[in-house]
Parts: sequence; C-alpha cells; structure tokens
Amino acid sequence: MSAVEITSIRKSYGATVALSDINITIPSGSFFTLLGPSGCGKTTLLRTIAGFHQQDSGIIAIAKQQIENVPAHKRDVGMVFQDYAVFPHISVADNIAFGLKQRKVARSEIASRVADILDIVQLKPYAARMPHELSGGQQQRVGLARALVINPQVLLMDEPLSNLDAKLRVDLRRELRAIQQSMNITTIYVTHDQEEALAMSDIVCVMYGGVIQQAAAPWDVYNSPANSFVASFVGANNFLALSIDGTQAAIAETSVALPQLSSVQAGGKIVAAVRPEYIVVNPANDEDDLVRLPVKIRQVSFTGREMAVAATLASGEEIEAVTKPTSDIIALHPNDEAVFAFPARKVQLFEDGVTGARLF
Amino acid sequence: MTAAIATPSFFTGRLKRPGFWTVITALAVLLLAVLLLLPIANVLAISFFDATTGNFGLSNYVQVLTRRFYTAALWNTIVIGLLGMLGACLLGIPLAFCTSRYRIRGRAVIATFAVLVLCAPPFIGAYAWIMLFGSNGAVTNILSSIGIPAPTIYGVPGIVMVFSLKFFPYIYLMTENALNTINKSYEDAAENLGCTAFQRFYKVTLPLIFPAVSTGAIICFVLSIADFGTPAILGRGVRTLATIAYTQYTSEMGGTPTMAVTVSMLMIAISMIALLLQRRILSKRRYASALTNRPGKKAMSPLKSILVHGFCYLVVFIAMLPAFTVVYTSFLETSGPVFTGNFGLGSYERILRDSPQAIYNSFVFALAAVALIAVVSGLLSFIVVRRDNFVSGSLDLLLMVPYLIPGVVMAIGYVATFQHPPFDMTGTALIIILLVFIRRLPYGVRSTTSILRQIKPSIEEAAINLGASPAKTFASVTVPLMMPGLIIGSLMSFITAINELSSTLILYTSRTITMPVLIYVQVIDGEFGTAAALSTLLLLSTGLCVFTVFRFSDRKESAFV
Repeated sequence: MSAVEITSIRKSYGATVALSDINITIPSGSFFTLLGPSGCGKTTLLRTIAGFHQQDSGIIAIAKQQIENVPAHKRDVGMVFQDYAVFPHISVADNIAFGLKQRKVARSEIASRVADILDIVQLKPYAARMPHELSGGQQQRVGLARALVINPQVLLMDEPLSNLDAKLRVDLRRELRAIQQSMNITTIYVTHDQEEALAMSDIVCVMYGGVIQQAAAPWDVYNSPANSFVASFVGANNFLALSIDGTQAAIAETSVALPQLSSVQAGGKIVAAVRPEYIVVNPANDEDDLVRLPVKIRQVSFTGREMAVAATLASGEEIEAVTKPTSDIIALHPNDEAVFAFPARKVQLFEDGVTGARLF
Repeated sequence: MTAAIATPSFFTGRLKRPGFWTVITALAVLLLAVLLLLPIANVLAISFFDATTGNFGLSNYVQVLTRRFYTAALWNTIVIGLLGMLGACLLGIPLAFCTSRYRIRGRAVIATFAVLVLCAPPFIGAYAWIMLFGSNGAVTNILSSIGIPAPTIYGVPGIVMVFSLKFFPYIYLMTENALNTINKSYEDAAENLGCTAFQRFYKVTLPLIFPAVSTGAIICFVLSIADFGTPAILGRGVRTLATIAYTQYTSEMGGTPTMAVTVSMLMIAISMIALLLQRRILSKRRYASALTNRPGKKAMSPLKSILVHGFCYLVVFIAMLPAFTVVYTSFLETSGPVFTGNFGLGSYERILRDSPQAIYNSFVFALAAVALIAVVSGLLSFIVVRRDNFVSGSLDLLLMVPYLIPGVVMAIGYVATFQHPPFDMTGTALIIILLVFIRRLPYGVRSTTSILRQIKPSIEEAAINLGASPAKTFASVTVPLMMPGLIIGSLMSFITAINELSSTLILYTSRTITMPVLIYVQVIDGEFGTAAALSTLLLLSTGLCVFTVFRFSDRKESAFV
C-alpha cells in the first residue's frame, strides 16, 4: 500500500504562484501522469514530492506517513531525471549500487539485486561500462534501474524520455510501462507530451497555472474534458464562437441545430468545440444530422496516415479537419469553397475563457 | 483524513537540526568576516582619525587630496594605470586578432609565452629591464659604446612599458577567447547585409568582443595601480600611491599607520570606481549565443604572413625578455655585486647556502595557503552556485573584494587587526599564510565555480534521492566531479601565492622571509646575481605549474584569465 495523498500543497516564488492548493490522491500501484505546458507547475509538484522544493504549506503522505518535512535524502522515493543524471565518474554497476550502499545493504545482496535489475532493464552486458560509453537511451535505463533497485515506495519520473529521439521514445515508453506494471509500483510521471501521457497512464492529471484542471483516465480526459483548457491541450480541437438568439444557435452566421443547447443554462458566452477527426470534408448530401459549415480552404497538408485540411469560416475563424487521404481531398486547393460537416452530438459546449468549464 | 496520517517519529517534538550546508555557510561567513572584512574595516577606521591629533574626521583625506606630495602620487598612479592599460590593449588586441583570425605557425608557443609572462612575478620584469636598459645595463653600455644615448628606463615611461608588457596577456587571452567563440554567423550576416571587411570588424566584431576586452582592460588597470614592486624599483623619484603607502607604513613603524592607510583607501576607491564603471557599461551588453558556427582561420599572402608572424613573435619575445635575462644572469659568476663575465653556478650555491630559509618558507607558505584555498574554495563554490539565497549572493560579491584590495592595504589591515593578544599573530608564519590564503582565495573559487556550473544539479539530486546525506553527496559525487577545477584552481593560486610580494613585504620577519621579498631586498641592494638565481627558481616552479595546468585543462591558456 503506497498510495500518495497530497493535501492543500501550496508553493510560490515571490509573486508567482507555482502550485495553488493542490489536492490529489494517487492510488497505490497506479501510473499517474502530470501533464501540462511548461510552467504549469507539474515539475514543481514532482520535485516537492521528492523533497527538492520545500512547499509553503500542505501535507504530502506516502502510505499514510507524512513526509513533507522529511529531508530529501530520507524520503523513500526513487527518481528518474530528464537528463539521466547518471554519475559520470563511476561504472554502471556502481551507479545502480549507489542507493543500496547508502542503505547499508549487505555486499552479496547488492550484487544479486544489481544483477537482477540489470536483467530487467536489459543492460547486463554493460555493467562494467562507464556512463559516457553508453547511448542516451542506455543511460536512461541506468537511471531507471538505479531508482528501481532500492524498491522505493513511489517512483518519480521527470520527463525521462524527452531527451531521446522519437523512435526510441516510443520503444522505451512501452518497456517502461511494462516494467512498472510488473513491479506494481506507484509511479508519478511528468511530461508535456500528451500522446505519451495518454498511452502510458492509468490517470492523467492535466495541470495549468499551478492548478489541477482534471485528473481522470486517459479516455475520460480526451472524451470528457473538464474544461476548455483540457479540451485544447489534450488532442487537437476546434473552438468556434456560438451566437445564441433565443432558441436559435449559429456558428459563423450559419444557424446550427444543437439539441444539447436545451440542457445548458444560458449564462455568458458559450464556445462550441469539435475535434478535427469528427469533421467530414464535403460530405455526401444524403447524410443527415450533420452540422454543415461553408468554408474556404486555406491549406491542405499530407502527413502520411491522414490529411490535415485547414480552412476559414465566413466569420474569419479558423477550423481544421483531419481525414483519410482520398483523391478528392488531395485535389483541394487553397481558396476553394468547401463544406465542413460534423455530427451535432460530437459538439461539446464550454464557457468562454482559457479554463472555461464544460457545459455539455 | 489528516488525522489518520502518522507523523514520522524522528520529526516529533524536536527542533529541526540545521542542515550541513547551513552550518558550512555560517562558517564561511564567519571566516570571511574575520579574515577579510575585519582587517578592511580596521584600515578604514584608522583613516578617519587624524594623524597628529587623533580626532575623528576627514582631515587625513583632506591632507591626501590637497598636499602636493600626495596629489602628485595620485596623478602618477592614475596616469600609470591608464597608460599601462592602454599599452596592454595596443599589444593584446592586435595579437589576439592575428592568432584567432590567421593561421599562425606556433600559436601554442605564443600562448604559452603569454601565460608565462602573466604568471612570472611582476618585479622580475622591472629589475631585468634595469639590467638591460638601466644606467649600467647591458644594452645601455653597448649603445653608449657606439655613441647612441639609450632611452631611459626609469620613471613613468619605464613603468608604463613594464606594465604594458607584463599585463597584455590578460587582454590577449581574453580577447582571443572571445574572438574564437563569436558565432561566425554574425559576421557572415553582416557581410551578407553589405558590410565591407572593415565595417564588419568595427560594427559587429568589436562590439561583440567588447565585454571581454573591457574585462581584461580593467584587470590591467587595477593591477597597474596596485603594483608595488615595479614603481619601487623603476620609480627613481616617481612616487605612486602604492609606494607611498609602503614607505609611509615603514616610516610610521610602531605608531598608527594613519597616512599609509588613508592613501590605501584612495587606491581602493580608484579600483572600485573603475570596476563599477566597467560593470555599468557591461550591464547593457550581454551577448549569449549558441556556438554553432565557429570562426575559421584564414591563410595569408607571403608578405602579410611575414609581417603578422613578425609582429606576434616580436611582442611575446620582448615580453619574455626579462625572464630570459634573469635566467641568463643567474648563470653568470659574480664577485660581490659585479659580474665577472664567466659562467658558473656561484649564485645558486650562494642562495642555497645563505637563504635556504626563504626558499623553504616560500614553498611551505604557498602550499599551506593552497591547501586551505582548495578546501575552502570547494565548499564556497558549492554555496555560491547551488544555494540560491541572499547569503550565497553576498558571498559571491564578497569574493570580488580581494581582487580590489592592494596587497599593501590588506597587510596593513592584518597587522592592525591581529596585533592584540590573544590573537597576536604578527611576525608568525600563520599571518602570512592566512593573508595569502584570503588574497588568492578568489582564484580558487573562480576555478571551482566555473566547473561546478557545468555539473548538472540533477546529478547531486540523484545522490540525495538515493539516500546520500548532503555532506555525503558533496564528498562522494560533487568533489570527484569538481576535481579538475580544484586542481587547476589550486595550481593557479599556488602560482600567485608563491610570487606574492606586496603584502609579505610588510609582514615578514627574518624568520618568515620569502623568496620574492628576498629578491626585492637584493635588487634594492644591487645583488643582481643571487636575485636572478632566486627569480629563476620562482620562474621554474611557476613554469611547472603552468605546464601542469595545460595538461589538466582542456581550455588551456584561457584557464589563466
């Protein structure tokens, strides 16, 4: 049982608030990801849990033990760093043994535990090497092994894959998740890469401005974003101003039928959001139930698996569709007239503002 | 929920013990307060009590700023400082431009000579020039035998020449480093936008290297006005503030060195104004750039090549001439103060017979000071680099102070501070070691600081995270990674420590005499032979250190500035 409970954690640097009243419980054994743009407070929160930052107030507990005032070197948390932080002056095996020696583990046990973990991270042949003889990916495996071998209650990872190239990142991502699941270790992972967060996590915690915007399963964060920030940061999204006149709604002066509007208490301004993958470009006329918007094509770009079609609405608002690359779409040119259409039920409604709440 | 969370036992009911680094920071503050600030404060205090009446006030300053004896010295000091700086720039900048922009054969030789010039004790230059161009100098005699009057080496022109030749390596090494690290794309862009080669130089290149040039220039200025040995040996009636401070101090021996101290304060003020001025100019010019496009070196036409090579080698050869002269002279036989014209090891026999104490003291004092510097600079640089708080910021600033305070002033401050029991250290080896330690500490700290900035903090955090205490982390991770910087810093402080003259001259007794002091005394007495042998010994130890730094440092000669 190594659940992490964070209660009312606050941290500010002068006038800048880095963490504003963070409350979250991370279930034991889960892979919990802090996701957000740079400066959102995700790294500050991770480093506060590690003990490298002192919180202004609040409680951090691991397995019901309060640790927020325990010095960093006495907290039983393993950490994997963005820049690997492998000690350059000692060998791979000595790096991994470092924490065990600090814990006064018997020499014979150190040897066997180092050997075991080297096996798990597939570095057995490199035990005697010096860090500079390893590639970036291998160094990060050392970093992971070094953090895991001490059997910490919680594993903290600060953007561990962001210094690696794209292909390696995906491979190591899978491997990391597999190791985490097999060891069943509570993991707190920081990233700004939403795809990485969605692919690896049990819980994705989206942060912005030192505030947790939403913490939920990847599926829920993507499909039921709590507010417009989450809707825009996780996955791509088109935000379109909605003008409401009585029961009639219009996007870019085209009236649209949105049944969900009836369940929304009309207060201030409302913004409609629709993900690019739900948009059909020039749909056949017999398809019913679609919201149809006339657009002018701006740019068509081929990205391999799909086509990205950027266009402008009559209001000047920009809108993007992502579709299968068919010959009709490849044939589109800038300034062509076209119709973007999407099912009304795929439209989500948000209050206006960066973190406007989802109304539907 | 909170109530259910147990508080760990070691935290309950006990005040948190101060952390390792808090204790070290407190000790560092105490150390610098006692060994650096207290003596300076004492010197400052003395200057406010009238020399004759003992009344508190500005009367001493009024005297120093109005009496011709002092104002003339003040004027000399500023003129010599500015001209020395200018001379060093005129030699250093062109040299740097040649070696960084053209293919020069033997660039390593030029750089090595420059570093040797930099590290050789300054007063060696002064008296070597006397042996060549003095009233009975070798060159003077040759010239007069064919009827040409030799230019005088004494007075302001001689002092300025010695300073220019002695301090130009600062400008050269800093400027060359800056020229080598300018992103060539800037110059390419200027050319692409239509600049001629000359426009490109003064519109783009020169502004970009200005911070480096001005930093080098300010070092030359501060060192020129603080230098005691050169004007003392070459002055012949031209007094500077440094020589006045020393003579006033020795004549006021026993009494309170009021006037010496007041003059010293003036020297500090000039240095500080110069430094603040340069900081102010620099604060608006910070250029960081990614070094993606290194500047290349051009080949030259044969004629240009000869001219450029001739210039480069001439500059370093003339600058090295004092060292060559000293080494040559040390192997000449003497009869009393007169050279017999034969070669031999007589001078060396004499120094080993008459002054083993000075040789022994020099090495012991320098090594002891360096050992202290190594330990303290390692800890201090960690505080300065890694601990981001008001105290660490102040420590960083405080470490600039020894650069600014002339040795004579520090020494007077030490005597004034540590002459009362139970802290009476006057006449002991300890007072010299501590003074050299505090004066040369910034060299060590600068070296360890620069290497520590390259060590990522995450490495230390990893050790902490794995359970190593802050002290253990420092010892087992930081120190090994800092070792190259620590070694270079120690060697650099050793070089400056063993060549220390201006402060030891005030503190020494017959038991604590050092080689530089003995050389100075012998030069004043006209004992050039043994002075040359001692100087050669100093040059040799300096050269060995330089060689070792070259081996350990990948930045090579730029490690020296």
